[in-house]
Amino acid sequence: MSDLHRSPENDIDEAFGRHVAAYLSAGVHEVDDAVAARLRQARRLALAAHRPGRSVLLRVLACGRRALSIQPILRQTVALAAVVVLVGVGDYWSTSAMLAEIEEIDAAMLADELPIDAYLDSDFSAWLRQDSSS
Amino acid sequence: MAATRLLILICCLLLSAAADARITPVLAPGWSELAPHQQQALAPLAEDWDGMSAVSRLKWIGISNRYEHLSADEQSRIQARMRDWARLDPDARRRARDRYRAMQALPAERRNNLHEEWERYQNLPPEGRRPQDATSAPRRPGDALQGQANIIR
Repeated sequence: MSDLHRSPENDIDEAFGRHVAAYLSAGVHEVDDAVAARLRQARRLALAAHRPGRSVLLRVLACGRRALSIQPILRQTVALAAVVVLVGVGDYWSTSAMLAEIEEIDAAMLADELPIDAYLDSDFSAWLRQDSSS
Repeated sequence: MAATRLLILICCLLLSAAADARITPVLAPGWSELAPHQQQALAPLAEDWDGMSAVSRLKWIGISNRYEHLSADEQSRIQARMRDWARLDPDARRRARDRYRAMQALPAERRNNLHEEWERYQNLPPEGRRPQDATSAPRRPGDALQGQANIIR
């Protein structure tokens, strides 16, 4: 703020502040250690409260750091979940396809006019192949 | 780090396998949980049902659902054969299915006469049923000597 905009009230406030500061500086040597420690702590708290912007920034940075440290774990978890789901779906699909085929063949064989013994006899199958190729 | 990831991956695979093993029995009900029409179609398997694997039960349930769409002859054939079929060695069943697939690949006129072919085959003497081994008997005079000459060379 430039000197042109300074008001007489501001000058009085500043002078009062300087008097108080001088008085406190002179009395600081007479303060005992316990009171000095409490004053130091109060000053720290007052400064922290007076600069909320910095603490929010710190908080945001801390959150960012935490997020960055969580991200690889999340990535691995998602990848593993995808593997588990893929294995499950693949297994279910292959089992279903195999079951459907076996079910169809078994139903056809059991209902067929040809006895099951014909399918169990390996010689009959070979004889049929040979007979049809000759 | 890589070892940890591998360990976690193995754990997840085991977990999914365990989950699958838990899911399948839920899908494969016990005998008392079958619908009346399924129990009726699968009646010959009643005694063996609870000792069957989950996959076998699911297969038979599928067959029972086809059952009502079959003719009376086919239904009676299925019921007459299902117990022996279920008690067969899994390997024998697998081979029989392979032969079924092979027979389906035969020319249509032969495939449609398989029953007659089976009867013809059964009327053959035992030596006539065995397929002739092409490698055991030389087809033309001199073939055997030709084979030996190849070995010597």
